[in-house]
Amino acid sequence: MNSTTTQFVPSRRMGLYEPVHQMSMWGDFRNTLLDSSPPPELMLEVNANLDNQSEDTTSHGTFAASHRNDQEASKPDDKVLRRLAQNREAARKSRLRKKAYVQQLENSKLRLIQLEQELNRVRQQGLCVGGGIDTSQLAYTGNSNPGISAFELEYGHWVEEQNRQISDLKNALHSDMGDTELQIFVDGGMQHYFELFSMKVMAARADVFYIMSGMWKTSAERFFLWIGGFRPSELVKQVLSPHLDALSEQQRLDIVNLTQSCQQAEDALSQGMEKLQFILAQAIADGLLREGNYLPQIGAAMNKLDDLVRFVVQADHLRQETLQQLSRILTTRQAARGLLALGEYLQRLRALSSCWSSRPREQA
Amino acid sequence: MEVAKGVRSAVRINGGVDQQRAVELDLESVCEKVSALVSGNAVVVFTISGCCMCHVVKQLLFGLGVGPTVVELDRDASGGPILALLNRLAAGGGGGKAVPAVFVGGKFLGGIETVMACHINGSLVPLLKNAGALWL
Repeated sequence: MNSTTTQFVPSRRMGLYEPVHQMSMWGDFRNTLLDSSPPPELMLEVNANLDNQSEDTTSHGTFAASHRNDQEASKPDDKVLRRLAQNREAARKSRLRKKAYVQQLENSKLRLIQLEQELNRVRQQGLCVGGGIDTSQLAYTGNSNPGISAFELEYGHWVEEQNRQISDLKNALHSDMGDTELQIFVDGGMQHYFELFSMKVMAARADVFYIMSGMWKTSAERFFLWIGGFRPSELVKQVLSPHLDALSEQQRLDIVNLTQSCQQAEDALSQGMEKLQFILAQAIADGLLREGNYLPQIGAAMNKLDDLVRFVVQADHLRQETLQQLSRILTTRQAARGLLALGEYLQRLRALSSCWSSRPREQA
Repeated sequence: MEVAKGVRSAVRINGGVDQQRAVELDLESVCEKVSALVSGNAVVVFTISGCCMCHVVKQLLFGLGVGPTVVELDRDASGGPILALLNRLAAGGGGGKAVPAVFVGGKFLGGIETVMACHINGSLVPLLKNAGALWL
């Protein structure tokens, strides 16, 4: 019953129900009763009953109320019929809307199942391993390069091992371990990075664009990409330097010199890259709008791409040399702390990427 | 000259005497040429014009304030033989590319990888200063 609330609407005149509300209540009661389109005879019968009841209420209501009631009683068929028709129409529309909504839900469910299956299939092929690939990378699943698939698998293992080494290093630093033992952890950590560089070089030979785009990295890591990896000078400046304590004067000087040499080497490599881009663009753009196909230009461009592999190799070599020079400058304990700082920094970047990709999307 | 000695011994190891003697003579003249170049200049860089890694080495040296003598092998008359010589040097050094090839103070330093490594470990600048390529 939809008018129960109006029944108890308080009136300023105590003890007097608002006659209009009361009438509408009766009207609605009639509507709900007649909603399912009863046969005409029953309608009349019900009407008669209701009319009787309304007449009873007129003793409590005002003259206006009973007058209204009489008006309605005199033309019950028209209004009732119209209301019946409206109700039928409304009910039908409601049923159709519900049907459409359910259909849409069913479709969405099917689509979701399809996407899940595709995701599982792609995962099994080892294309989504390691580093937290977010959904925006699913578009790249066309990669059937075995060298790259192997690299992605290996990288997944590398990250797992990295996480283990970071917690081992943390424990080692908090224990009262001696330098000789600690050095083993440092050497292990360094070696682990060198392994990554070898892996990357092999993958660069399989698909240099893949490495140059940082496809195996998480999104936040890719923001800092420079020739297929991190800028060594940035790592020394931002991550390591601020967290190295008890540096001697000589060490401080050495770190400054190292940062500067890194930057100079990076600048030289960057300029070389710009030249390569220029040459490549030139090769591709040669003879546009000319008759004939573009195969010669593509062929020329393909040859230039070998140079790109060389850049990835040299950039990773620079990263390796920087790490090695750091291990020469720093004491065992300082190097251990430096490695831990670096490892934690990379972990945080990956966490940022996860957080970012799972943030609630705003509705357009 | 160090370079020539190294190359001659490499050649001797590689093949038969008759054939190699002819090659040795050619190499000898090239070695002389190269040795003249590198002893006359503090820093000599052998490049090929389209090579981007050669550009990297040049930019690095320019950035340090060095004014190297650049020999573009594809623009030089004896570019071919010199390249062959450099190939041998590179192979001896462990399989890098022949160019860019950097000579400092009359001695063969290496390719891009060696130059970078020397710079990072701090040995490049003293080397350049000793050769008279830098004055600060």
